[in-house]
Amino acid sequence: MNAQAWQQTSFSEPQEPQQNGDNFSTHIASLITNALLKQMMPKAQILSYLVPPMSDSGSVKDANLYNMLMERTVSADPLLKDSMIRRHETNVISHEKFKAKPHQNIFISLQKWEGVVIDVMDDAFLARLIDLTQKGTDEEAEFSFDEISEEDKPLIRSGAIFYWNIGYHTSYSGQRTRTSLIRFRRLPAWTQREIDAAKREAEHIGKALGW
Amino acid sequence: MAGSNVNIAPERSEIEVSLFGPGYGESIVLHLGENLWLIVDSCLDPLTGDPAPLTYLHHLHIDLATAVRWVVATHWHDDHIRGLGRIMQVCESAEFVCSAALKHQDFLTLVTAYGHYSMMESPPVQEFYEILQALAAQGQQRPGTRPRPPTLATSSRCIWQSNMEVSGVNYPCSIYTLSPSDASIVLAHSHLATLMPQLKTTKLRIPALTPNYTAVVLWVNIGAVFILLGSDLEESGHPDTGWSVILGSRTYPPGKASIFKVPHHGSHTGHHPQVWQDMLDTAPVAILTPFALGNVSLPTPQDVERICQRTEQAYATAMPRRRRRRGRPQVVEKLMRDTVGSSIREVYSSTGHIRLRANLAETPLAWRVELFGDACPLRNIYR
Repeated sequence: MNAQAWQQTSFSEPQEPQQNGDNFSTHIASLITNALLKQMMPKAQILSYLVPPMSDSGSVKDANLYNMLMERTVSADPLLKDSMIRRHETNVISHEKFKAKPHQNIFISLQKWEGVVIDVMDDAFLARLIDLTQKGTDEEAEFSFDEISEEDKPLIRSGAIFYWNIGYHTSYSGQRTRTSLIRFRRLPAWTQREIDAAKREAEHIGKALGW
Repeated sequence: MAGSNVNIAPERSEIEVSLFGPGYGESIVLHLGENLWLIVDSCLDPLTGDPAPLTYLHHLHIDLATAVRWVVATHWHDDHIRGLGRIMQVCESAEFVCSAALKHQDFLTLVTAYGHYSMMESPPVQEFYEILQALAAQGQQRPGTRPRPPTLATSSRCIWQSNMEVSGVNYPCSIYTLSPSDASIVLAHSHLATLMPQLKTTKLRIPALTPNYTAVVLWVNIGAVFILLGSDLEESGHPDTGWSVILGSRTYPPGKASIFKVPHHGSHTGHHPQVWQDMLDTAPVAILTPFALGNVSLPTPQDVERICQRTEQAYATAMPRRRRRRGRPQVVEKLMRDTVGSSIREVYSSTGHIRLRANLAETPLAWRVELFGDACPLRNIYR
């Protein structure tokens, strides 16, 4: 009997209690313990249901179920208790590991440019590129609009600034791919404060120059 | 240039015109004689990132703080102004000359806004912002003294006149600015107004002013020698702007130039046939820097043909075509190709230096042409 069939069989019984609080936990614990005692399920399958409640996220219900199962399995099989404890420890350790080094969306840059849009054509734009990885002379390149994300396309205009990154991208699942990323810089709009400050400073310079 | 005689300074009696062009950008260094130097515009050495005129004069062991008397910003395009702020810092006694079109509150506001408040790099305005701030600070640092405002270039304005004694002979010398015209100044002001930062509009890097109304053309006279430095002044056919005004005005010292810095990288937009007839010798030495931006490449083969028909002595600092690319790791190269195909190229892929020298004491006066780096005869640049 596989776990799915067992679950379906067990929970379709008419005497299934309401899923509230301790009664529910007791019922589930009985089912699992009986299944264990009757050898309806292999130990490994039972153990997979016995995930120890986490102190920061586990509910009262989960804690009750876990404690009950732990208590009942002691009499049923002392070896099982030991393996459960080991599993508990393993789980805690692996959880801590997860906390310490979670899978992340990582981009390792190999080459980066700052670009300035110089000219916009029908389906492409010309840009001046400043190498941010290695000092050198400026470069120019033509970018097709197809290379730009839909949300960045409205930002393509003469004088707009963007960043072009080439490197390795590691996804949450750990998959690594070579990637070329183009992202337009979202510059804030001119504010009245900035314009006024520029005018004041301009007047100051003008006076100092005798203009 | 290593190993050549490029680092030998001119004699005090020698006139020198040096044109630097890193493929995109240009600068001129002029020795009027008697250790009197003029720098026109600036471009950066692609290898060191330093202003090319400073590097050159430093190698000649010229005292930059005292010997450079004028620094001229003919216009504020990116390819003429990079490094000018640093030149003004080093050349402490130099007079700063710029277009009269820039003496306007809108220009100062524009420079301050984009140079200080835009939260982005914007080289042309930042260079001007640094220069104007430095000039303004000069007056504040010494209370009681007047600041030295920029000398404003306009049509037919004499910015310097003197008699220079070379080997016991007196030579009348002068420097005139021949542009911008009054009408060009008005047009430039109206253009400036369109570039002013507007409330609640996105900050963008400021575009270049085109067409170029504000470019400063220089007419330099040393004895019987005349030199015409054409900047990027364009000709639209309008009688009140461009070369037409200069040709119509005869208030500068008459003479025919033996050296001509061809305007606007040899483009037909800077060409006026009458300039060759009225202002130049029959066979002047014509020099230019190429320009390349996207699909625009100057001079075009037609431009080369036109110029070479008028003089056999035409030279360019570099090739206009740029296909060289920087080497990068294979994985980067592949993704670059996938993204932009083969369109990526270095802007300053070729750089050179044309040096012309003539000794005032020699009769007849003859120009000695020296080519360094990628500089070559103009007729060869498309071969």
